[in-house]
Amino acid sequence: MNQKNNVIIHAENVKKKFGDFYALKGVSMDVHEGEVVVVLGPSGSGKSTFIRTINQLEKHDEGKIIVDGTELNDDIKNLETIRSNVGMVFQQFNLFPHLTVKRNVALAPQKVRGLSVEEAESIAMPLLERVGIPEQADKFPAQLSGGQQQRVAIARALAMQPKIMLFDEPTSALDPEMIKEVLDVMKELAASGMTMIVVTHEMGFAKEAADRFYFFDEGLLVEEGTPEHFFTNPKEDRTKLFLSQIL
Amino acid sequence: MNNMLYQSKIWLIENLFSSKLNIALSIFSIIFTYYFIASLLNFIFISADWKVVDVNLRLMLLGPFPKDAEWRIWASIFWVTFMSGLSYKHLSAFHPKHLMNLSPLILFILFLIDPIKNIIITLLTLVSFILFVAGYHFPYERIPKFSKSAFILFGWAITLPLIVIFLKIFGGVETTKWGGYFLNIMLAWVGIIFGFLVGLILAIGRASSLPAIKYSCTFYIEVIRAAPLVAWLFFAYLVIPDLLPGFFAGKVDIALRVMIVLSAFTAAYIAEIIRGGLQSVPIGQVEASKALGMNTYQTTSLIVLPQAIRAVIPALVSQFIALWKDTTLILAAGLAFRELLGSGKSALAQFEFIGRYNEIYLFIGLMFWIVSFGMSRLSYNFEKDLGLNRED
Repeated sequence: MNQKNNVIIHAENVKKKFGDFYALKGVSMDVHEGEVVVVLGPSGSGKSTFIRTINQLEKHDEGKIIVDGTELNDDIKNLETIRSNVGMVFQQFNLFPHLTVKRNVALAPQKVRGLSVEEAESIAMPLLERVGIPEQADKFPAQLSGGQQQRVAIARALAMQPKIMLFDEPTSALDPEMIKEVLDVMKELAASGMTMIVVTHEMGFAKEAADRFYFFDEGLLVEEGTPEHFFTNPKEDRTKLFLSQIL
Repeated sequence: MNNMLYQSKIWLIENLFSSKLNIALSIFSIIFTYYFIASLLNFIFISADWKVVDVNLRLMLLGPFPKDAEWRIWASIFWVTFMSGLSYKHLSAFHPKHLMNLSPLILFILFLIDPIKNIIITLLTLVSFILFVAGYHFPYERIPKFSKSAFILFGWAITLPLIVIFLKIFGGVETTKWGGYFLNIMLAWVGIIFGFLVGLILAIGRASSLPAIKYSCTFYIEVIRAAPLVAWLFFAYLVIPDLLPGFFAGKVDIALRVMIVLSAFTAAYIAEIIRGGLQSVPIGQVEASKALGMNTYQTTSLIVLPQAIRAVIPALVSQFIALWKDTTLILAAGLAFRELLGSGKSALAQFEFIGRYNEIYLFIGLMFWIVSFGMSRLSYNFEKDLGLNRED
């Protein structure tokens, strides 16, 4: 529990429309520094849309989002700076296929932070060691397994030394035998004190690493609480139904 | 040895004579190929009279280019062969055996141009070979502050301006005196470089979210593609001079106008090819790049464009090859120029060579094929270098 720490993400009544459809119907959430938050919910519940508003890959239509002291609105000039402080890991990895693993990790520090090639690569290599694949540094993403690719994607996000990490169903596109290697990296990251918001159905990981659970359904935040609360006595019927389906 | 014979017999039976239909097709192809090659060789070495090519060689290669200014062209050739040698070393997919494959071609050209009589040309060609080797062994790594690819890129980037300087310094040669094969090469080179650059800008512009930029790029592309190249060449010849404000009149000569039209025409097609490539890049690539904090310019130039262009290299090269051959259309537009095909036709009008079509057109065809095939091989090797081409 890190409830005493500062609030690093403050979301208030966030709404997001796609055409006439409300993907988010007013979501409020506070995430504290160092907290690991797991977001649960059936598909189409708006959980991915919500974490994508935090780095403004989706612009919210109403409400207020404050990330690390800066409110996200149309006027902000330094959207790139905020994004570089918020790492993101995608379901489909989205590695850059035309660059080697090392260049994938070193590219953003070099281009966004303005480091030299050598400095950027000296950041990249320890990160590849941290996620356990330094020997793949000179290969291209297509030559790696799914689990290795996702670990590179985590290293790539960490290379910008973000304060917050967002995970959008990081293991959903992986073969079962590769899920563990990615979850192990995420657990290590959680233990190191990183603020994390994780959209996942991996309840084993959630139980072990999460500080708080949030349950989304139909664009609303239905229930929140500690892992114990969710596993022992969830209040809402929709939460109970969902948990009974995935556990 | 017996074993090898046996192996090849098995191969023949399995691949060429496995069924009645295959036997019939094989025999037909063998007879056809034999007659084709036999009559071609018979023509080249026995019945043809290559004097028409020999006498008109200079006309077809350089047109009315002044003789005392030929050093300008040689200087350009030397620079290009030097740069080729330098680049050759770094396209790892290249192999010396590719050069060996060219040797029959080189022998054939030597057969055509008679190296003893044209001793100066032979010597200067030899110098360009030596420069190729010098480029291959050039110690670029001793030059500080340059990586090898930056060095090569810089070298090729200054090539066109350098050639223009070679052609213009110390008096220079008027563009109306350009001609022959040299003119085809200059037109295609300028058309490819500016066509590609403008096409790239148009493709990005067409994908823009700003309506003014988007629709003006679309308008340009649709207008250019609505008329054939020949019509645009007439436009360059007849209409552009009237459209230009008085200050420019007479300053924008016909060569420049043709280059502008070729570039502008190619740009429209290149833009559509690149747009296809841009659409093939998944949206997740843009999201990943933005999530890392890269701005729109960095995302486009570092992530989207490299992938988009890689995806369309074969289509781009087809367009370049089409442009290379379209340079002969300046003849159809009845301009003052004589490029290779036009020079060939004027050679055929000479009294003593009337009727020597086969020799002239075979030679012209060969000259066009050399560059077309060269571009095709270059792109093929380039693709292999990028790890795109898995077939071999």
